[in-house]
Amino acid sequence: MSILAKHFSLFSIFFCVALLSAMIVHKFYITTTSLRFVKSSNSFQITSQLFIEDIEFVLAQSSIPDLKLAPDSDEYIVDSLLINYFKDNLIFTSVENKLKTNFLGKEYKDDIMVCYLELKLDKLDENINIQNTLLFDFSEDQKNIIHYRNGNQRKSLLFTHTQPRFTIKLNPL
Amino acid sequence: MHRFFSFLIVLVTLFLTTGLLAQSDSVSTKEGGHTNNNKFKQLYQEFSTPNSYRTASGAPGIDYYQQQVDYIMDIELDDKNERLYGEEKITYTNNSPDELSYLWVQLDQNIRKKDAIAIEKDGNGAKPLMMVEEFVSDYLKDPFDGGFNIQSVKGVDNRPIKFLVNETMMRIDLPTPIKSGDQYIFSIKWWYNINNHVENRARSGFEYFPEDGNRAYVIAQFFPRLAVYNDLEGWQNYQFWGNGEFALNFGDYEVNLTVPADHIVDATGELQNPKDVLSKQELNRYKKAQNTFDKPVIIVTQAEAEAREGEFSEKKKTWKFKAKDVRDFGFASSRKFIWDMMAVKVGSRKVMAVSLYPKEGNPLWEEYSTVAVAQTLKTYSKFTFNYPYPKAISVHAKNQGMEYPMICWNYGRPEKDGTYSDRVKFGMISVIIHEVGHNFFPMIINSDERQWGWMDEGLDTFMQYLTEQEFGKNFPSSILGLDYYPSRRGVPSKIVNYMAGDQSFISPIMSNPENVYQLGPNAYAKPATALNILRETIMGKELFDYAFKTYAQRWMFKHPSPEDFFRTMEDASAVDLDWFWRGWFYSTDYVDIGVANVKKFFISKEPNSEIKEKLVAYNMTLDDLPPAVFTVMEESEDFNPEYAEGSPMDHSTVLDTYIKDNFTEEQLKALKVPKYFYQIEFEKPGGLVMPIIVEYSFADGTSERITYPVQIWRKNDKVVRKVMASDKEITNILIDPDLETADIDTSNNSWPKKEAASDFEKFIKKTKN
Repeated sequence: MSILAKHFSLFSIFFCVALLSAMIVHKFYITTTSLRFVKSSNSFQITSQLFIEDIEFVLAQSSIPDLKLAPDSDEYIVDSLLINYFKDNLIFTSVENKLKTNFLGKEYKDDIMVCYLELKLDKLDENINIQNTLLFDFSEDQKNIIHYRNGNQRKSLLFTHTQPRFTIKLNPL
Repeated sequence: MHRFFSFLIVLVTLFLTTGLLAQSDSVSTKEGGHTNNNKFKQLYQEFSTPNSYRTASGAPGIDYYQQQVDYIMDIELDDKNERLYGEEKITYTNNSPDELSYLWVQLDQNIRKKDAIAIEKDGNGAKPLMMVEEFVSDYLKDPFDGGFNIQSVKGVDNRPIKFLVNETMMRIDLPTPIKSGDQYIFSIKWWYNINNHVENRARSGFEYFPEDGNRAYVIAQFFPRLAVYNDLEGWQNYQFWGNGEFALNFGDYEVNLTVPADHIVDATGELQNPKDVLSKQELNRYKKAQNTFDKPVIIVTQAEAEAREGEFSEKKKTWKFKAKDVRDFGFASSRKFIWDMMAVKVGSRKVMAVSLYPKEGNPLWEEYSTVAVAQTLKTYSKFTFNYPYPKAISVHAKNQGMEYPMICWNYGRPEKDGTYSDRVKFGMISVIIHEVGHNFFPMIINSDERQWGWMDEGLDTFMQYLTEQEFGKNFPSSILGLDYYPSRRGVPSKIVNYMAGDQSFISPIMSNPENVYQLGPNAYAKPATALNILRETIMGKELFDYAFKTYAQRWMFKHPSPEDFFRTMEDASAVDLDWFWRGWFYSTDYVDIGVANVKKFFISKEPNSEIKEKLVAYNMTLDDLPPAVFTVMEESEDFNPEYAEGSPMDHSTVLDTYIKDNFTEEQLKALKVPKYFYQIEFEKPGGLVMPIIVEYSFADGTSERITYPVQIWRKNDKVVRKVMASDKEITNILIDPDLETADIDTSNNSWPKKEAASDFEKFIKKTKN
């Protein structure tokens, strides 16, 4: 069948399916982010997986039309665009203020771009609000999953255009 | 004697409780009963009762039947107005034992009607952000009307036949019922507006090239097609909603395709009139290709195709095709097409591997398309049956990956300057292998895609993995710098993210394609990985390959159901697989097996305190016992460091005496006496039962692999213990060392416990270096 081009062979890594249904645009785009709270350093380890072609399209649209990834046409510019992109589309806020994530870098695995970010907490906020709009500007059917893990506690969150925000509780002891 | 006997019972009870790991010591309230919820329970409730249509062995039964539907069609492509016209004569042969008073015909194009109900099949909501094109197409544009216009339905007597259209299904109300064994002939005349498949991401339609004003057509499910009537579904008239593909009958086709005179066409079936439609030069090359086995012969060159792009001929030509025993018909037509083909030897047969592509596909397509087709035919034939059709065509179409008998559409387009990344190259080779592979599943092994997406997609994706690996071996230049072809699906570790995902977005494989959250992993990657695990880890290649081939050959040119596959795989291999189908195909369970703890124990002079207490309770002494060997746990109070020294015989007089009395001098010399005893407790947080593959590493640097069969979980689904006796000390225990079971959490796979570094930690370490 007819699963769209680029995404065709990749479901196993994470699932981004563009289905060619006759007539109806029926895409199913998903990014996966692993969000792991590390108690000892009071920080989150963030690992996001995006399809290279999707993020390439989005970054090129907002900057240089012939921008290329994997290999990057200009690594410095690409990283700088990614820093901005994550700053705007993966937002963590505590009750009081926006929390700052550090973009540590990226690597390419097959058709996937894996981005690494870190979020250090100054103090242990009980509630953290997450807004995940990654690739929402690529597809109206974009959905993003965050697998949150804190010790033995695990939770999966599904971000959609209609529900792009969730709150997680850190339960400080 | 009586006392001795009752003590034996105590011993046996002790042994049993240890072996079975009783879950609870205290019995405060009596538990209620339960039905059979064992993971190894046979699938009697899920499977239908075998009958004379389909046997318990998974083969077609003595009364198995299938309908035959033959088509003679005249089709005209109106390039200027983007329309397709057709008139088809259908011969329906009722091979069923039943009398049919109506027929159902599929009108797939009706999913593109302006007011198709399928447009509203998904929920949506207010979106804070929308792409501008999406806003325009959702709220501003007049929707495209691409449904069928049925002009007439007539009998052989030219009289109109009553019909009723229900969305994508049309009921033909027969003047008189068709008796079992009878034929019925009728004709349908129709036309529809062809859609731009790039704009609406459809399986069929055209791509428009604004630079030269041409269109490349890839046309399929374009004519009213008979629905399947069979012993499983009656009429398979489940509406076409977009995801579930097709259920189709086998038949013979004669199709006359009338297109602009400067178009190049290829289609399902053999071209009947090459002399009428090809130039003399093209015809010579076409003939030469029929006997060229080493490399593709180019029939229409890029320069010739480019010259054609500006012609826009007003004349027409009719290309005539005939196909036998196919379940569908598709064609591609454009003046932009470059055309190459080569002959491939498949068993004793000769098959043509063919490619059609516009210049936009080059240089990639000229280099890889036809050779990828050839490799697919060879590998798939090896695992199933010799490819029975005369040809297999790969057509370049933007964003497409879609299959029809003998012809398929594939993506993979280089940059404008002709450069391409490995991503584009491997994506293209993989999709060609996948779509050409669909000739086997479901074109020949004709499963019902409308009901079961995985039966063709899963089996095809599994075979795709095997073919990609062979392609890499046979064309080492294509994978330069890599150890093997970078298959994206099939490798167990690659399904872990999906299997570990949120259960509310996962469906069992045995679900209708319309109702699953993630069709890709659900119908493609998970079944393909499951079959790969079945082949490499559970059954072994020899048993698997024989059974898989048996399934393919039994159901070649027939309509199998999932059970026919499940039953055949068992029947031809003598491997009980009900647990495997139940877990992997009927549930969303996942694999997670770990080491809970490891305890060392030694042969001791004296019984441990537990046995001593029992002896007192039974008013017995040690002398009352039959000759017995005692053991104590290293961690217990009964342990004496002396027990760790010397051989077991030093600490058990009973054992020492027994051996000396019963073994000869030579036997004693050859005797391997273990020195270290371990009790390993395995835990299974995951719902799937799987064999436990364990690698034991020893102090002397050696290692040993033991696979405990899956049946070890029969009587306790949570934990199981095993004793490992060895003359060497165990330093490390690792479960699933080659990551072949798709274990979703490997943090419990090793003893001593070693948390594997996460991707995040690995990245940090790498960047620090």
